[in-house]
Amino acid sequence: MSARIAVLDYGMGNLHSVARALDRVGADVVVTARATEVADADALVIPGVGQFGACMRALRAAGLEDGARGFIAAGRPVFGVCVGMQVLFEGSDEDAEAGLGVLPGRVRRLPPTVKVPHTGWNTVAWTGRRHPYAAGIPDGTAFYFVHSFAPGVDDRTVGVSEHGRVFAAAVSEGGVFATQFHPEKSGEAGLQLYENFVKAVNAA
Amino acid sequence: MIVIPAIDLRGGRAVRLLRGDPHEETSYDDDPVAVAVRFQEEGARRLHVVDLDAALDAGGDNREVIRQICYSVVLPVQVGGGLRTLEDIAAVLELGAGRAILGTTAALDPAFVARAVEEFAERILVAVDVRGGHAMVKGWTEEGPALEEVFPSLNEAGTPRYLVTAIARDGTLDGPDLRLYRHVLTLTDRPVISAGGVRTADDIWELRDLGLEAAVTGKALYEKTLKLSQVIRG
Repeated sequence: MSARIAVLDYGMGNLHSVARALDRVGADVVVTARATEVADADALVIPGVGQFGACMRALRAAGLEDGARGFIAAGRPVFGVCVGMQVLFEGSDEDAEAGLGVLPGRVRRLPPTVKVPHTGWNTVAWTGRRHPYAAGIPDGTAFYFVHSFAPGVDDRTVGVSEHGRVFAAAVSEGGVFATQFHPEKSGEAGLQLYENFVKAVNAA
Repeated sequence: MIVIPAIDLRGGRAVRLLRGDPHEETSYDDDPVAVAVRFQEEGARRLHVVDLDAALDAGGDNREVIRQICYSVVLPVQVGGGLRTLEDIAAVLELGAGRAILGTTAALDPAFVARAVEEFAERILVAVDVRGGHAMVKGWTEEGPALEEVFPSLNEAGTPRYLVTAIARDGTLDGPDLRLYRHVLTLTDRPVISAGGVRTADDIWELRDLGLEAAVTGKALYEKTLKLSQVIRG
């Protein structure tokens, strides 16, 4: 039986496309705002588009902050996307609101020398420790980005991209994996990433 | 402050109407999906899409275009136009909409709103279209109850969020009806999104200072009296 993956529905993102992509690679997907359904799932996807603080406040207002924290603290598989990645950090230049603080450091604005938001396809270089979810995806593959802020590179970075500066396009820590880009808008490579995630969850 | 770009669909094209009059149409682009993607590239955080054919009940709809828009952007999309039943709402959410906008006729039935909120919670956005202090129904041609009657029952029904359109300003670039919004904000403690009249970035700041959550903006963006880069940080 396929593992159940909960996509957090807190009003901040185009959840349908995330759910559809996961469904296509064989996941049993539930888009939910219910803490009980989150707790019962085998893995959690945290999507998110928009403003960092608005996302954190919406997560809290939906009563999902504690559920997400608990899930992460238990080391269970979590996949963050875009602002759903950014909220895993301690904070952001975009807003005074604190993030979940699961990952150390802050999300920084992209430099004023380049066009923001950074919109469109950009290549991602996998760093030395190749994450299992990146299996079968060549180094330098292009993914689809829409963002104006991004975390810097540190030893949790598993994929690197550049727009005005080098930034973390994919990060990993324990059960958490997250991307600044949108796998659900990134064609075959994005689906491959989700498929690797779903397979790993199923195998666990 | 969130500026929500508006895309009104008619016969598969992106159009703007003047004060909701179906005979006063300006067509801006033949490809609404390209318009949506362009708004995303310019920094929009959410999109507002209305199916005018479904709203005007003229036969036909733009559901396929709406599906393509929702599929082509990463932004949440709020979708309205002719949503009169729970099935209509479910169908539009299934197309990929983040929120479903209940038109004023539906919104004047608090029992229906309560059922919709029970089923779809925060994904419901209740539209109240206003002229002369009254909610307007039937394609903005018929006067409904006064706002002082409308809001208490909708609040009671659990409305999570309102979209209040100043009809007389819609599509005019005359500036938002600040008096209306000041009044509306005394009638509810729920978030309110404005629509109608925005011309410049200063209009946006005035709405923000009043306490609006967001402002739906159409013509100002199409006519370029307002650029998203002026009002969206980063």
